[in-house]
Amino acid sequence: MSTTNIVEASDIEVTFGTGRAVVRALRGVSVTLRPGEAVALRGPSGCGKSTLMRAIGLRLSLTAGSLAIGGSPAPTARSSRARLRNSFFGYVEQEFGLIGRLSAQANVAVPLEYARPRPGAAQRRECTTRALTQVGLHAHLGDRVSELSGGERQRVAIARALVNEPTVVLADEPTGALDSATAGDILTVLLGVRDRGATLLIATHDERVAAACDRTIDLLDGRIQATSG
Amino acid sequence: MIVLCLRECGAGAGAALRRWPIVVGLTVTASVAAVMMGLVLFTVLTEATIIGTRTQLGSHAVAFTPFYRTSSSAAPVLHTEALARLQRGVAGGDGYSTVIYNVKPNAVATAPSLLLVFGERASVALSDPVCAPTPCAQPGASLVLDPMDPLSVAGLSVPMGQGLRPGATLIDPAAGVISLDRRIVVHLPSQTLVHLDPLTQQEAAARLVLIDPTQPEVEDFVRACAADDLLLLPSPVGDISSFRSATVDALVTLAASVAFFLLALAAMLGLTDDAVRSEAVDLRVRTTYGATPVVVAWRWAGFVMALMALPTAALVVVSSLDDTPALRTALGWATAVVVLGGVGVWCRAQWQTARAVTGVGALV
Repeated sequence: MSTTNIVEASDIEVTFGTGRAVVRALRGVSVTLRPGEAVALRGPSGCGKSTLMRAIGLRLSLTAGSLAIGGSPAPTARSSRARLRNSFFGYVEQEFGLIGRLSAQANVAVPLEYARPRPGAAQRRECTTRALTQVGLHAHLGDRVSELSGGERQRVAIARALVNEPTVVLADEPTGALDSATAGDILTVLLGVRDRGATLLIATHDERVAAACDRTIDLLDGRIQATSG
Repeated sequence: MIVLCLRECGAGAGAALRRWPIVVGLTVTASVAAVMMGLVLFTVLTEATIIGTRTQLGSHAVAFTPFYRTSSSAAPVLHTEALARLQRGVAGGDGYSTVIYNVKPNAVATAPSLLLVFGERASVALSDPVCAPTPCAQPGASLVLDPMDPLSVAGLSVPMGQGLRPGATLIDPAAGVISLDRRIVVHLPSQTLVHLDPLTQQEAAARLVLIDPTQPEVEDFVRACAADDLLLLPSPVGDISSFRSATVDALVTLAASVAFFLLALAAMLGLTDDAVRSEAVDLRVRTTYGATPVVVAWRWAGFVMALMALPTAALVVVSSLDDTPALRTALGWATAVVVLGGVGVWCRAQWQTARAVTGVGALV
């Protein structure tokens, strides 16, 4: 295993269902992520992009294969996996995944609530303010996310992914629900994450997003079809 | 970790309180149903105990039901013949009598109420052996008495004997189970009956239980009391038909109150399903960012506590108002049903959460 690889997935397989209803979402996929790079994951809907993102992000159990995170095998204990999800990864989703009744700042604070050790109230406020300022939302700290526009909500989601200063940010179709102008802004914010040293894995249909990344992985029917860059 | 779990518990309670109009309606309904369930269960248990006691006393024992003339303005006062027959009834092991409510002690420094017992055969109705020789008294287990307090009843100084065991009871053929924890049981000789207050004498006559009496004995006693305006209807203690029918009625009411509670519980399950659906994003985000299944379980525990707090509190409050052991037992069972219902709601929430956040790490 290369010490330069921050994530190393080898021959991973993920199967859903049983019997005739079985779906082989990933079939022997091997992926490596290096520090500070942006990698685009492309492919048609249902090809396994989201499943691969979730498998790498410790949000799914592997049916087969191995996964190494930060040079060590991915833990199997629930509590260890939960801790790693909190400290190592940041997650951005197409549908934002925000808690509508909470303010932007409270949404961004969620990862800090489960951080170990848990930062104090003042430190949490400072971290969330900094993360929201990074994505240009310092004027909307106390606004309810249900009152924000689509682009602003995605920025809140990115701020939340960044607040714990993760090593890897996994963004699943981050521009999918946005108009092209807003998508361009969000892409700039995401590439800024890469520029600050974090590794970025983006599942996308958007050619502009893929073109802006350092590498591209094409998936088809749960297998890697091609890699470039 | 404890702080985190308590915080999640509070958040779960908050999730319930955000739906406060429904939650208030459901918890009030469940509380009423739970208290009803406990009280009706108490009635069932009491009826069952009375049936048991009456069966134990046997088909040859006779108890009396008093009736009062509505035209008579004054309370009946028993005179020589009636009192003599009452005395004869409790003396020599032919029967026993009790005074549960209408006792006027001559001097009692402390507040607990007295319960008078006449006749050694009373031991069949008492859970503890009756003290001897008469006069003697047995304090209930919950009483703290000053040893210097004199106890005087009907002009007699009554020495305090060994205390009763906790949960001691007297089973009366008519009144059911009487807790003795906060009472002083005073065993008096039959001769003292003539020195008692008229109201106390009247109750002693009405609560007379005769064992294996002859027909003339019963008729003479009834006639003597009727002459003094106290009308008594004798009935065999072993005849439990009326109690059986009352028990059936109570069981039907119990079934209705259980159904009422189950209805409230079903509505709570529906509310929980709705809560899981509307909190799904919240739960998914939290599990993604490190909330473990244990943490999520605490969140739903808080939710369930908010739902079940009022029914449980209602049962505890009702239970604290009366220390009758059978009532406490019945309310204890009702509390167990409420707790079991709460566990059911919690399991449902956990199961629905597992479905709602599948693949978000909480399950892997």
